[in-house]
Amino acid sequence: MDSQHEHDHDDEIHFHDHAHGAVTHRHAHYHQHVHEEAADKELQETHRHTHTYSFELYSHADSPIHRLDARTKTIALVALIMAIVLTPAAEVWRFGLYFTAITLLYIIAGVPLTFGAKRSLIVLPFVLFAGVLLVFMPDKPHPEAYNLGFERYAITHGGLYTLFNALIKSWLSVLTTILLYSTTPFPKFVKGLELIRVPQVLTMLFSFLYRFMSVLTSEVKTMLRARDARAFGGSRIWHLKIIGQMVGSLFIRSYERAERVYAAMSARGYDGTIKTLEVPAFAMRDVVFTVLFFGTLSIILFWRL
Amino acid sequence: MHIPDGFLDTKTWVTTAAASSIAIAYAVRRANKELEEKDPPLMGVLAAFIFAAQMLNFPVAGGTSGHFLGAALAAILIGPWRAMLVMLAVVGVQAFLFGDGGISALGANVFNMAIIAPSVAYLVYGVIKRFSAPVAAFAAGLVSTVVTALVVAIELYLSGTAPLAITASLMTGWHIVIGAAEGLITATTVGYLARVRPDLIHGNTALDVRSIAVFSSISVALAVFLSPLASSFPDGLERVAHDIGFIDKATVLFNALIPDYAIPGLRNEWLATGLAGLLGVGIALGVGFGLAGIARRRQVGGETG
Repeated sequence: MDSQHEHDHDDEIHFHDHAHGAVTHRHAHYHQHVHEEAADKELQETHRHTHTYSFELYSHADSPIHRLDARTKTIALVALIMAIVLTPAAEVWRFGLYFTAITLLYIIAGVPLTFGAKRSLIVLPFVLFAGVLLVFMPDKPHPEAYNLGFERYAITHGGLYTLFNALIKSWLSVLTTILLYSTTPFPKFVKGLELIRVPQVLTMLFSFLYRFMSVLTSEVKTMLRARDARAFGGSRIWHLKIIGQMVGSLFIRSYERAERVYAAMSARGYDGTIKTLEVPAFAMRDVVFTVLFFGTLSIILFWRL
Repeated sequence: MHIPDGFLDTKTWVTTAAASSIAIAYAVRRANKELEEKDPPLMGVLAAFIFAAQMLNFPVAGGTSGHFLGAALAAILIGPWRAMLVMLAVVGVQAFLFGDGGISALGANVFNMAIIAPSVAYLVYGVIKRFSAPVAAFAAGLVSTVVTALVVAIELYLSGTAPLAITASLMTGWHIVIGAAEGLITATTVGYLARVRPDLIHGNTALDVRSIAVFSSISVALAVFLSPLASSFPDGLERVAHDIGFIDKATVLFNALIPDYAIPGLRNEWLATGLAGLLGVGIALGVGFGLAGIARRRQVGGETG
């Protein structure tokens, strides 16, 4: 940990810029008491906080975008996705403008576009699936098509147009989603949802899912390793039965963990709501961002060529 | 089965989003009635359980693999209403944190995986359970997977992204294989839990099949009846673009490369689509019940559980 200041207030939750791994960032954390002679390495181990997932590499960094209220960002980026999806595919240049705007946001946020590009490959399977289907796209008005030997079906211009439409829109939208989670820690996002009156059952579900995702995922990894070490050969059906039993025991472990978690929470005063240290509030920068963002968005949307 | 942004047209994603919102609002009310204070943490951990269990993949055929989906298992283990909310949380987190499934397509993905899949699973389980619980669990996994795949195909078709006949047969065929594995895992899991912790299986209590039958029929009817209503409005932005005239220029530009396309009979064949959808569901149900029958006959001779 590259710490820029003295930790004179051990055990108190506080903020300061620091880095573990690649990115300098800022989030609430505390340090456990460390003796004077403790080496830096020990300091690192006593730094307590939560960011666990690889996709969260940038979510705790600091930038003008990171400092915005979660609600501002969520609404803006969802609006951007809606605009992208609603744009007629024929107007290719508009997608160029969207891409430029998204790139600009990435730069302001200090998130490398390559990070977004790498993670955006997730849309690929669905695009390939659609690619297979467009071979069969009937397109009667334009019979000149690349026939593959089927009588009724061939790659058509209509099909290519459809694929282009889906490809560009899904890719730009995924880039936007990645920007949202790379600039907004998930707990803040959920708090924002709560403030815009998403039912509390759902926001609680989101919070707990987020918290226990990694716990249970690593449990599954352990089980998979155990299985791979012991269960080889055998029939396909037998393997499926093994998975079934793994799911069963994972369920029991999850259930019992949930009961323990609930007991621990009740002991600490849980009353059905989640309390957070920071109460989000709109600031002047949210107003400025909203005006600039929606101004730009409407120019891209409605500007005539 | 996660549809990305850009694959659905406006009428389809608006319709499914509206139907999902209404259905989820109702599910929240129903779940809230059954909910005790300890339930939100429990459901959150179980959402993480479904999320983690989706990591368990199995070989299918020709070097490809499928993964466990979990909607059927959730419906059997915690009851349909809570299963819907748990699946909603999983699908929502996958969309916002992993870019898996689009934001504008979230309504459709929720409709498919959080409403249709657990409802169908619960119905099938409820109907067959009185004959044999393992067979019922198997059929629930199989039929819910196939029906969900079929609904995805119908949504893509209605959006003009893919032709119905081929998409539906491809999706159904492939997902009969995936669904069989899903069914086997679900049955093994339920069987395992029945031996180890039978108290944890909600599906062991009195099943309220009727209200889920009514609920899922209303959800589907909502989607079916809202859809032509939404499609009688022109694609919002495209209409604006037409009105102010800029689309023509852009279209000319694009047509030089790829001519405009038309899906023959997209609007006229509304009835045909509905019929085809019903037919597909009927076939899927028939296959499900047929397989269940065969499995049951085997079950009688073989070991139980």
